[in-house]
Amino acid sequence: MTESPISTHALGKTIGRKTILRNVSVEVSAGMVVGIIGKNGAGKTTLMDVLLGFSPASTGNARVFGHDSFTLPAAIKGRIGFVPQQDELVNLLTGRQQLSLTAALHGRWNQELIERLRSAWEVPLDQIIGRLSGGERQKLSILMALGHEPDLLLLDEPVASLDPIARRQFLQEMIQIAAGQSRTVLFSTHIVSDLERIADQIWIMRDGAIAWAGALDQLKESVVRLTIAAREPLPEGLKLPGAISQRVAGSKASAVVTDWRDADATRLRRELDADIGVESLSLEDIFVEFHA
Amino acid sequence: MKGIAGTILRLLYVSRMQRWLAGFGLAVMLSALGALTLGWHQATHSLIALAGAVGVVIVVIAPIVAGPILFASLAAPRTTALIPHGRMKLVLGAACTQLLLAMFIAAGLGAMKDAPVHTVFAIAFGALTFFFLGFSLSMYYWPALLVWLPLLWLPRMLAFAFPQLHLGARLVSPRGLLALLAASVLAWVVYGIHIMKSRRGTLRGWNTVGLGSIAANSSRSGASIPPTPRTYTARDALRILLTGNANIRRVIVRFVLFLGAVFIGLTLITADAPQPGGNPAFVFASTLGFMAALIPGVWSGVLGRRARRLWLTAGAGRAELFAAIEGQCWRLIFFAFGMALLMDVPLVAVSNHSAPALNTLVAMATLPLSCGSAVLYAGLLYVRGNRFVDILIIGANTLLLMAVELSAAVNSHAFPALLGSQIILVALLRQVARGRWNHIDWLMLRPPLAAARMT
Repeated sequence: MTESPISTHALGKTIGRKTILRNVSVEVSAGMVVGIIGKNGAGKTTLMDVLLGFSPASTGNARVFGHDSFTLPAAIKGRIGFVPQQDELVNLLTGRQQLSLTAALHGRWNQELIERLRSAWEVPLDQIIGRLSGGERQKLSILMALGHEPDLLLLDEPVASLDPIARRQFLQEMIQIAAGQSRTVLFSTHIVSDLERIADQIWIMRDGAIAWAGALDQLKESVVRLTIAAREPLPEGLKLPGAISQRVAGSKASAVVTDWRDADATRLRRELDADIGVESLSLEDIFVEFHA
Repeated sequence: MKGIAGTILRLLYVSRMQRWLAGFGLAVMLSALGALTLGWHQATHSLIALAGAVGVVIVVIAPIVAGPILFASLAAPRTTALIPHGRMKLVLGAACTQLLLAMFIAAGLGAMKDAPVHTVFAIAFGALTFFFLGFSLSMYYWPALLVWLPLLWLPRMLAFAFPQLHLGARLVSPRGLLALLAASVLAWVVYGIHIMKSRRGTLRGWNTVGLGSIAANSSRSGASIPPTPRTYTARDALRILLTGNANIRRVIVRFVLFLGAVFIGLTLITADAPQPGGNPAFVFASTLGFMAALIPGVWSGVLGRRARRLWLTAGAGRAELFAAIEGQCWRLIFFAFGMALLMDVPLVAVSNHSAPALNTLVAMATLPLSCGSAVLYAGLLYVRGNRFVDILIIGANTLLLMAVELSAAVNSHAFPALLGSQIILVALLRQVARGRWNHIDWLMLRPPLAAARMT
């Protein structure tokens, strides 16, 4: 039986008195592309740091390919590629030197892939890294993470510094990598359209916890905006089931609810004696509502 | 005013470690002051006064050392470009900070040691100005580092070369102190104009975070660009990615040769001057040895942060990374110190003074290594963020280093015992550091984010 690339159980991380991750329980199957979205400070980077073994879990556990992430053996680490939010390149080296050094540390290295991507992304490998722009450094970090053809790729806001063309090229490459060789990709981003383009599954993080996890379609179907127009004034303490946010004013109300099913509309119509309007939301709207 | 006040606060005590040190130093200083005021233990008066003076030093040491670095971050073009008179506020804030520090030193030492407050203030402000401006400029123009070199010999040489001028007495005369203050203020004005004129980031190597990029000087600092891609062994790769330089030894050789040549030149120039404080060749040789051994030791902290990436890419465990960093630092310490010892031979040969006592020679050979190793392991154990216990350990280590150096300088009988205790402390520090590395949390071992924001 193949081990799940990533699994966490009741994972928590506390530094001092600050809780950064709380009760994160997830499982990622091989070949999945998972996108994480959340506000700044929601815990995305910390989650990746714990998954990669940079930081120990305070509670619960995190496992990568069945191994505890904090004590990953070398063989498992060799199956992981990582692009950090802030690159960890060596300023005094050239891009080519940095890639050669990274290749020397890995058992396998696909030079052909690197050359193809370098040419497509126009990465100036013979320049000193300290003189590269933010986007060029980001591209080089991505090349370093892809060269050894990892089975699991973790990308912490990988496209933040890329121009729209490079971003599109990168996303296409991600789709090919994930689809062609059944690699698992976990990436965080603030760009909602990127998530919609390539993610199979979406995790919405809020205050260190996974507020919602599931497929994009499932998310869009289950999170809807309701507009309620009743014949009589609505009760003051009205609590709509699964409401993320709601506003009640007299006989009218609007709310965003999760876990919505079509049958719920009929039930609400009957209970409140009201017309119920159901509106689908874009992913961006859903994200905003989750953090309202 | 808000911008200037904000700059002062940041330059004084931006980090938690600085605040801890300030609190600790103040507590020491106030306790000593209390004991002196109450006339407690007259016999130990001088010792209590010395402890109080050390407290003053602990309070001011962090802002003095970190100030120029932080200033460079705050002065980043993009940070200050949109703030009206942003750079002027920064310079004024920096100048006021040094002024406040000088006032604190004068008040503290005046209360503790009955030193003349005006004299201490003027000299402290002059020295702080000299240090801040020299350090700050050296981030943009590395030759500015050499500004500090004359401090080693110039005052003494001048005083003895021109005894009839009574330079020391003139300096502490009201007119001399006034001249020193005027020179310091003038230096700030010139520096301020220089910084403000560079508003388009024309200072070499000035990038978005303000600090001069090392990469800008890379072609001259020994980072070679191979004409064709080459392959490395995994061991080489680990070494280069840890040290961040493919030709680190070449950099060390150039540094030691350059500094050695400067010292040899100074020894030759001052050969005939009277030397009441000892043979300058040996002072230079000791300085060279200390710099050669300490710099690779101080570097261990940087290597520790770089190891985060290698934990994943090199497949190495935490214990292996600790051993790799330790080995790398030791190799560099021995290499640099060996180079320094080689340079000592011509340095001593051109000197026309008699050789120092045997124990001084032993100190010259052992002290740099013991200090380098103490700093190495102190850097490696400081991996859990700014914890009070860690600061205490590093503080105690620093005090012991100072005591060992002082005992060597005054040829004290306590030197062997102090050196022995330092070696034992190094062994203990290593054990603690190794234990901590088995549980290292790289979330806490990230470079501190500079508070590059000015309100």
